[in-house]
Amino acid sequence: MNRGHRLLSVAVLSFLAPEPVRAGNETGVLFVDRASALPVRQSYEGEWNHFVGGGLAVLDCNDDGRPDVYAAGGAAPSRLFVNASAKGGEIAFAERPIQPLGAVTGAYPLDVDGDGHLDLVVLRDGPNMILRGEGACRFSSAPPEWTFDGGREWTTSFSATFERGQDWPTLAFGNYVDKTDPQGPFEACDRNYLIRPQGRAFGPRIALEPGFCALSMLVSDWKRNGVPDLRISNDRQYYVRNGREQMWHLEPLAEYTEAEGWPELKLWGMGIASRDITGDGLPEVVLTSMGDQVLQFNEGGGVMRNAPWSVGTYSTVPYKGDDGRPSTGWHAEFGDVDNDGRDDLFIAKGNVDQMPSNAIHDPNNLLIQQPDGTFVERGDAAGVGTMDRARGAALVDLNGDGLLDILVNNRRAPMEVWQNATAGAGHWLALDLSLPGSNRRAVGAIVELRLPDGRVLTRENTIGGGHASGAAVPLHFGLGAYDTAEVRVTWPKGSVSDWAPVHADGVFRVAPGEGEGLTISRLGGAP
Amino acid sequence: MTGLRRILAGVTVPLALLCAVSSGVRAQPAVTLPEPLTDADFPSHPQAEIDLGRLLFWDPVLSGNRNISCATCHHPRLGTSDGLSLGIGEGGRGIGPDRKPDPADYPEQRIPRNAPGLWNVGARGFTVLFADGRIEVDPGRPTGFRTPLEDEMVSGFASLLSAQTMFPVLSSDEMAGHYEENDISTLVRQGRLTGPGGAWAAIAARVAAIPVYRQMFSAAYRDIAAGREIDFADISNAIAAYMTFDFRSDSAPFDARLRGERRLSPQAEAGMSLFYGKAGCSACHSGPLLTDMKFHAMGDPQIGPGKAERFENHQRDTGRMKVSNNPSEAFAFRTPSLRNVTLTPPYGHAGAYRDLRAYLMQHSDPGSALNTYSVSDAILPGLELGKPDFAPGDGGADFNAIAAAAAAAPRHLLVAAEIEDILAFLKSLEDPVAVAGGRMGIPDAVPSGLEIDG
Repeated sequence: MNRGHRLLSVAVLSFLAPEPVRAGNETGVLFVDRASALPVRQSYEGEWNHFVGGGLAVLDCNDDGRPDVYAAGGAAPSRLFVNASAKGGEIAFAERPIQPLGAVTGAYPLDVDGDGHLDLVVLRDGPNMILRGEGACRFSSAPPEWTFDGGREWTTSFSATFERGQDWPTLAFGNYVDKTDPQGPFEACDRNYLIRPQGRAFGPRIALEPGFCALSMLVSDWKRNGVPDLRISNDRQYYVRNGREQMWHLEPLAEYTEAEGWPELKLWGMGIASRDITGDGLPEVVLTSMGDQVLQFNEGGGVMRNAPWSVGTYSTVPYKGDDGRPSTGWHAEFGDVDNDGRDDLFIAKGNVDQMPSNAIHDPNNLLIQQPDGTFVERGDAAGVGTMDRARGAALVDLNGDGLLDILVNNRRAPMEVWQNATAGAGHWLALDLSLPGSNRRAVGAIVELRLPDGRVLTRENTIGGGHASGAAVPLHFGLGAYDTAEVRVTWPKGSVSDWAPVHADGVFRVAPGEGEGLTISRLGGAP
Repeated sequence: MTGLRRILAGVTVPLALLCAVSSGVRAQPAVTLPEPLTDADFPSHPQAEIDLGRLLFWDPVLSGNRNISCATCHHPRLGTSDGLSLGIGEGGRGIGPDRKPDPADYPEQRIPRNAPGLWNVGARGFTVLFADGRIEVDPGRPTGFRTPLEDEMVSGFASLLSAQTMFPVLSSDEMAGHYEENDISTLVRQGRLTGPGGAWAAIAARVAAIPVYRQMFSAAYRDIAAGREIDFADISNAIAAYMTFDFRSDSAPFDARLRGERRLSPQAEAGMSLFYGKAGCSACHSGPLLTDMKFHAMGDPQIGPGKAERFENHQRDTGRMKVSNNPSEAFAFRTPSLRNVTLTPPYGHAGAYRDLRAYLMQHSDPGSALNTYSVSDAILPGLELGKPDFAPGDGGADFNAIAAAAAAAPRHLLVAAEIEDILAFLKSLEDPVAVAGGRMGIPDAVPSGLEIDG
């Protein structure tokens, strides 16, 4: 602790605590419609091959501290929108040219080659692409020497990790239906692929079989034993009978079995959200589906257990409107939208297209976590309960005011931008992890934030999950009434830092310091 | 005790009523009877359209696996219903109580609700279709209708009944079939319904490929004769025209009574007085169609699969609430028309009662029979299923919640003799046209050449 204090940068030490603000009052959660911030109509369009997908990739591609967004358009154009918001001001975007790609289903940002510029992995119905970031929001096709094989499948999910001893990431691509199967489309799920690096290039594709129509993938150290696994959420709509939710050991590559305690679970799986919400350091997961949205508590030792109904996250049917059929969930993401120190949950909802079994008017959920750990629906009161066919989404601070804003990509309806205007929100901070050399963004690190009351907020720095959507942005924490906290980082290679103090209401770069210390430097934010 | 004796005893009905009836003129009403149905209550259709609709109604070509038609579960010899509590749709063989699962195409589950009779469904006053009203006239919606497709609903359907007719063909359990069994079921499960690549277009293309149908559509619809393609809405319009014509029922003794032509039997008159009086039936079974087109939680037992989607585990049927999303409408179902009710057993939204008397007994005290209900009161064809037909309790069909929802329903405790009187009145709703199975009879063959469920 003392050492951590010593290593704080001058900027942080000179930071003055602001006037105390009251802890987030959840009843005041409010978002303002800023869809007009987008200069053109952006939507996810297309026939059956774009019933699923519709992702958003959020990344700061011009290093101005404002996250930018790449939106999948399906059969319509996919576009890059550069964030032109003034600090604390109205959210604004400008379109920036990017290589036109057809049939894009989603995208995830990551720094493949460790050059400090985020690259974009673009998922498609057809060859997947890596767009290499060059800075200033310019992107070019990945150079041939990367030897990236994008396949030809209908790709709908992605995750990545940096495995031990590797400078480059391991990429996992999840595929949907094999459209070339004459017996399809049902019980015709394509295989998934893993691509491992070979030095500063990619090796051949390794099939992950069987595949069960993967709509979300996430590499996570879910047991907190330092050994990340690959979770795959699969859509029973197409695997029909013989399929399941999957977990894979990465080394050696093998699917978890019932014999080792991975119970068979069948879902209409669409999206994964992962976050420790019980305070024990182990990440819970939300698996979106049709009807019940499944929250599973992580009980340790590799045991996940369905949350009781009373937790309030099942969100089975629309909470407003006069359509009582079951909901269809897609992107799910945890984030503390009122900065009260408790993570909330956003779920993008919308009919597949014309499924009469499910609600046609299906509002997105904004579930606010209460002090007792239950969740209460505030989507309507907060203004974000739109009824369109939502798919991908992001919870991200777009205008640097410390409040998480919301982006939603809709099928056959315009993309949404929601500026968080919650009054009386609590303190916050955001941490941008940084490592020298490869894995510059410290993917796989685990960040713990200890509040003065002793509670520890745990965050795993992952790439993947959601629905075809990912963000590579500073990790956002709500602090409630506290304007200080302590941070500890478990770095991807396993070293654990000491606790270091950090002040609220700013964005800080966190890098390994001397010994077990941290170097913490302020990037932005203001009292 | 007969109804007449009780009337004479002055127990339930003022003597004035009896006198008025005896005089052979329209009752001096102690009860207010509805106005009779007239031609103005029914749309009229050209014979060519009716003839076309009749063949389509009987033609299995509209079903995904070409093995079931509208008539299979709405059979004129079974009161335009199927004589079963819960039918077997696609994947069954035979009709009525003889219907059996086809081992080569085994049904996944029973149809979750009782097949309703189709009497007068074409009447202008029939504004709410299906027991949950998921197809209904709704002036609050931009199109003026609620349908399961909401703003995605196609245009071209001529009436509410035609809109309704567009949906059973999309149900995997009713007509479409399952998974990749056929082109229709594949499109349905993919959620591709409208547009040139959708399930409706695929069914219309099947029909359009049959020359006899092409000729008949040209004869029925001028713009098709002029070259417009056959749309599924044309198919549903023709079927609706046929049902409107053939299943019109306004020649029962009750209709003569409404027109002031003839009185009913004394017992039926007594039953009618109860129905429109102290038994409270007409509070909901109102108007000439004997329905208020509204939704009421009446505590009927829930049996069968319930309205659970394939991704749900329960066996509940929350009725109107699943459509309206309004918790106050939990377990409420649209008041059924009682026309030809004696011809359409079993009774209740899930057909829990094969016997009308038993149904009435518990109906007069809503929810009272839930604790003692036995599924042996139903008529269910043999079917090996993953779930039991009877799943009471919170984890299944939720009988406790059904009882709670019915707690607010009015109670009109009736003695056995009164039940007999009401049954006699309900018998007066039986129309000779309906007993005969409608006006047009069963066709000898259909243009597809497929076998008819005659």
